Amino acid sequence: MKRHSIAGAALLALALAGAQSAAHAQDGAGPSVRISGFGTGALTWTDTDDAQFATPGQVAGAGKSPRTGPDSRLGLQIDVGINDWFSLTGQGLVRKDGEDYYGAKAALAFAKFKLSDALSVRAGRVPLTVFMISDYRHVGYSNITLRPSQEVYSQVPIDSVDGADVTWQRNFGDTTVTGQVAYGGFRKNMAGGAKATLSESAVANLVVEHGPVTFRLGRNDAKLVLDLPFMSLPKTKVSFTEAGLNLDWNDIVVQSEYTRAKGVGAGSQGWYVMGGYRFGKLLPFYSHGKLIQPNGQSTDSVGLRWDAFRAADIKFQVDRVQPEGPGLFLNAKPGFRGPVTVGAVAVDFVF
Amino acid sequence: MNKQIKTLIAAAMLAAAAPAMAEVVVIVNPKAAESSLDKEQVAQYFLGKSTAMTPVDQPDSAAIRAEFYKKVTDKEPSQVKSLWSKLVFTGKATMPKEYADSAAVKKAVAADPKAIGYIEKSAVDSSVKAVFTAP
Repeated sequence: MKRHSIAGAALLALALAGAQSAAHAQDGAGPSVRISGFGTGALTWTDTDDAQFATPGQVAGAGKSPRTGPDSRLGLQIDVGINDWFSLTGQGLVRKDGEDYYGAKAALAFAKFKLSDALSVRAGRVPLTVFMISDYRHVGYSNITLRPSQEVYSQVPIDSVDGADVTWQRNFGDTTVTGQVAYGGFRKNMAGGAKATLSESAVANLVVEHGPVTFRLGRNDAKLVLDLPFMSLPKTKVSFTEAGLNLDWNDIVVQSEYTRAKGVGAGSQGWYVMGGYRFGKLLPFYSHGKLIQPNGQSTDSVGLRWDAFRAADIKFQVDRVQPEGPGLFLNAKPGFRGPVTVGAVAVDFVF
Repeated sequence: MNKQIKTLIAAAMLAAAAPAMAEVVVIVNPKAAESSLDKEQVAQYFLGKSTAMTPVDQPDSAAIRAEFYKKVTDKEPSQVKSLWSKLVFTGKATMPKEYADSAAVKKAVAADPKAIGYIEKSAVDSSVKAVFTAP
């Protein structure tokens, strides 16, 4: 009896000592590894089969039959902290993008160097942060509407650049100011067999956050080559300018962006305004977006975000889309005309 | 007799109400430069707006965690999670490390001069320094 107790106590002591040293290794010298992820499972459908509804970068979409393609995605991220100032991050994103099947792409893959409390540098595949929610446009849980405004976010369907960025952040009393510059290039397959090659892409953005309000200004200048199935457009200078505003005050939420793209064809302008009110776990919202370009379109959206679970939400959204000609719809049959009603139901989660 | 009963009832009600009025205290390492912080400064660390200090959390399901964020940042747990998700999935920050309870938080804060955490007022001892009390 006594021998068993001593052996048991010794084993327990050994186990505790092992756990203790492992914990110390994590807190102290060794690298830390964190796995996290996000995703959206959604069904999207419309009231017509004369054209397909899809999100930026996709080649096929939904008609009258509900489809998971347009709004579903899964992201997996691994963060390795080597020491106080050096870390590695990799993120894979699975969604229907550039091909009509679920493919995985490396959305992020960079080494981060924290030079000081205010300054950090990242090198590798970094986000192309031209929009207010560029970096997290695919993280459904972090956004109120079911999808980012089609009119604005279709203007730049590229999310990453291979290059480097520098971020500077400083607090002035209650105000947080963040500045970022990035440089790199990217290649992407688009709808209709087209291929876009972005090079010499220089991005600069400034975010000012004071209490419940956030202002953002962004600018991207790059060279773009578009390879279409039957021809190639020569290298063109393109530019993209963005101004954004976000308010979350006393349960009132407002988000708005204005964007302007120049260089390809006649260029385009886009804007949207979204407003909502938080009633506990329910957040109903309304949004209006407009894209001004040849074959532009506008959308009125009404929806509800329900924070039903600790790390997941359920969203319902109905859009009334008015396209000019085909607008942003894909594979439009001759004679296709709007307006089109789009419905969607989604579950967003993070872990 | 009536007076005694009334006093007893009042005392019982106060005792029952006491847990709901538990104060949350923000703690840092005794060697940290800061001796006191205001609500906005604490919020900055726990919302990822400043990396000068390393925030540590209590478990996701702990009542003190929801209470802390509501009192200091005026946000619901889902809003805080949404905010951190934005930072994590764009590679800007990693979520604060979670510790099992106030004792574990104290240990973590005592071991790291840059750590900042929150515990019940009753748990404060000399191993950590209190810099802010949420009413």
